[in-house]
Amino acid sequence: MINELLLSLIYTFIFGSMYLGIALGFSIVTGVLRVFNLAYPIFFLIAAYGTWLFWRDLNLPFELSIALPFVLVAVASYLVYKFVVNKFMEAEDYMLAALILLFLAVEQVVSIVYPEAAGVFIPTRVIEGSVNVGPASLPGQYFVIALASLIMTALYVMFFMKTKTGLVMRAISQSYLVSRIIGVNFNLMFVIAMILGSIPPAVVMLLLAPVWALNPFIGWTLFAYGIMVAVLGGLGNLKGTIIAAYMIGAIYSFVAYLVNPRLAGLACLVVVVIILALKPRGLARAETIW
Amino acid sequence: MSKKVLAAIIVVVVIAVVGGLSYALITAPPPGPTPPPVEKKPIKIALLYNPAISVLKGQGEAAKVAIEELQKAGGIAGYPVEYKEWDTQRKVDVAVAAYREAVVDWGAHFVLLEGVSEEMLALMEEGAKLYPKYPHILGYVGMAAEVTIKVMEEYDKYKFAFRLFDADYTANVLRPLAIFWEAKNVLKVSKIAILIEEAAWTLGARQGLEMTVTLKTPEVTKTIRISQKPLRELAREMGLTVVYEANIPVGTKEFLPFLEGAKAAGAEYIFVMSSWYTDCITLVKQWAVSGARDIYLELYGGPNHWTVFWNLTGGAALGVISGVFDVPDYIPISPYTQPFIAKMLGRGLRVDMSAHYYYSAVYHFKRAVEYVVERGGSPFDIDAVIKALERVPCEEHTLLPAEMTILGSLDENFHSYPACLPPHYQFQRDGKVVCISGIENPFRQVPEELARRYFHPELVKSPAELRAGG
Repeated sequence: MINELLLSLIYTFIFGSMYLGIALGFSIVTGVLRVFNLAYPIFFLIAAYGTWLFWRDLNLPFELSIALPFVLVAVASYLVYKFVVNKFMEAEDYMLAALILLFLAVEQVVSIVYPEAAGVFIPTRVIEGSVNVGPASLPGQYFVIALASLIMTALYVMFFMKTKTGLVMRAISQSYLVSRIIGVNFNLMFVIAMILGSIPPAVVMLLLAPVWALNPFIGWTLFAYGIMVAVLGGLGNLKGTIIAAYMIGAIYSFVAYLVNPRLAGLACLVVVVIILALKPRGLARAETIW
Repeated sequence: MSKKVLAAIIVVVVIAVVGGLSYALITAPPPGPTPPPVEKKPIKIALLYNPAISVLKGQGEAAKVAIEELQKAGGIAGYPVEYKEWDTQRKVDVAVAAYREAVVDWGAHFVLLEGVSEEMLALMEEGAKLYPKYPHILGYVGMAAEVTIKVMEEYDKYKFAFRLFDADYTANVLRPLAIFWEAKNVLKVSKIAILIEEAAWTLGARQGLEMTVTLKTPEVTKTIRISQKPLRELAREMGLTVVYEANIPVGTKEFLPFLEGAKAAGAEYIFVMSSWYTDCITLVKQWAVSGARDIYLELYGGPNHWTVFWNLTGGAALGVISGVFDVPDYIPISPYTQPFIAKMLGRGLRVDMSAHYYYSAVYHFKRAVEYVVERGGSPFDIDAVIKALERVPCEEHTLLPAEMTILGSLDENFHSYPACLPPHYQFQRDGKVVCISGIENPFRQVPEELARRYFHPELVKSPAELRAGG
């Protein structure tokens, strides 16, 4: 029993941090732009298949192949903002439709160019094998993912708290109208927010690749975790996102290790539904990004 | 004879010959163009599958490879062969619409479906309505006990339907028994964990199955008992101790709790009853970095049927055991086995167990048509072809010995094949795939001479040994 409790606690940290990493970029975009970015999953796909493209199809060095997709996701973020978000800012229904269609189109292209049988894999394993923590032997790569997610979250929080650009973004997230009156350059801020929001999914995807299957439909699976965490946390609020990620991580781990792993996913969904029924706007009020 | 008489005879003969020829020329019909040979009506095969998914594309392509071979060889019994494809999107309504179009509009004589069992069951209902006006044969490679049981209980209504695969309730007993025998006698383990994909096809493996079915054909009425013990009982009968058992939800991405559970229970071997629904790639990647990585891991179905599974897992499959069906030197159960694999690989296609069956299904259709034509019948007498399919073996089957391919055996495998028990392979260093099946395995279906040549149980290695460079 002690072992199971220990495992539950450790995996609360691991799964919670991983969910945080997956949801982080989505929360930033929702917080600053107040846009429900349904094209978010394309960043997972660009990171994974972009790396494969540069590494195996274009025969570039592996390190460079990992770095170049970040340029691609930045360009993709800009294009999504320029041609979809900005274009339909005043017509949210059209924007949502355009964003989801864009994601589906990218998913289809990837599935045609790199079907599962193509055997795409990315050897981004940082720690081989497992790490011993007390009596438990745990996958080292998961610790790397957890650590990377925490570092990214800390950097973003510092960015929003300590930099002038971060301050402006917080102002936008608090009041779009007042920010407009004081002459904020919205286009620039929105583009920066979109690009900032595209980095965490790319990082998480590359680190997850050694422990999750890569297939053209992985974007939606990851996005589902991101939506669950972001909605529970209160859309666009980083504090809420952090709390929600670890709460879901804890429910998943404790049910999986102490009750029955088969029920872990269901337990998370039930708790999310109950909390949202009681607090429809999530754990934190979504009036500001922090 | 005088010269005058001889000259008179010659003149008479010449006149007779010239006159006769002239008469013949006058009375003969005028020469015309050569009448064209009577063109035979083509035998039409419809392929219903989803080409957007890699594995299903491979299965559809396997059937096409067989049809193209028949076309090159001049058709079936002198009749040309045509085929046409429909995309079912693996959706029931789309599949039914495609099926109607194939049978009613295009006039298919044979329909081969790749799809989920719900599609097949829906097609059987639709086919029962179509058959009286549009006789045809519907073949399916897949699971679901109902497919076979429906044909057994209502033969007149569903006689056109064949499950050109093994019946799940027999295969899911015999295959695990063969697998557990290997675990005990080749891997030398005694404590095992069982993880079962939580899908309809594994219900019998999880809970067991007991039913009585009455087989009713025009000639025979027979009561048949169908029985499937749950996996845990099969393992115990084999002398293994099941220390951990869990159901894996379809679509899950987190296998660590299951793997940790198996490890905590002291398992030496994990058997995963998986199919394409389980994300076996993620499972293996997580196993390779988990605390359970030193425990033998055996997978049932899924992308592990391909040698490229090694790449798909980025080498995490080191030590994983599975049936693998596209090994170039696969055991030559028939002369067609290895050439088929080579052809598919040559086209950049992967071969899983079902791909073998789709290829073989076309040849089984061919044998049935030939059987009818050899006896003076027509290939378009579908009732006769159905009877032939029930009677004739398929000698070109790539995974089953010919004697196991009779589709009309009056038992629980009626209109299905008996269980295929494929050999086991282990992924070893650099993705090398080694056949580790035991030669003495009583469930083995290949001749002993082949088993001795191809089975190498002595080469099995523990995952830890392999990681250490063994």
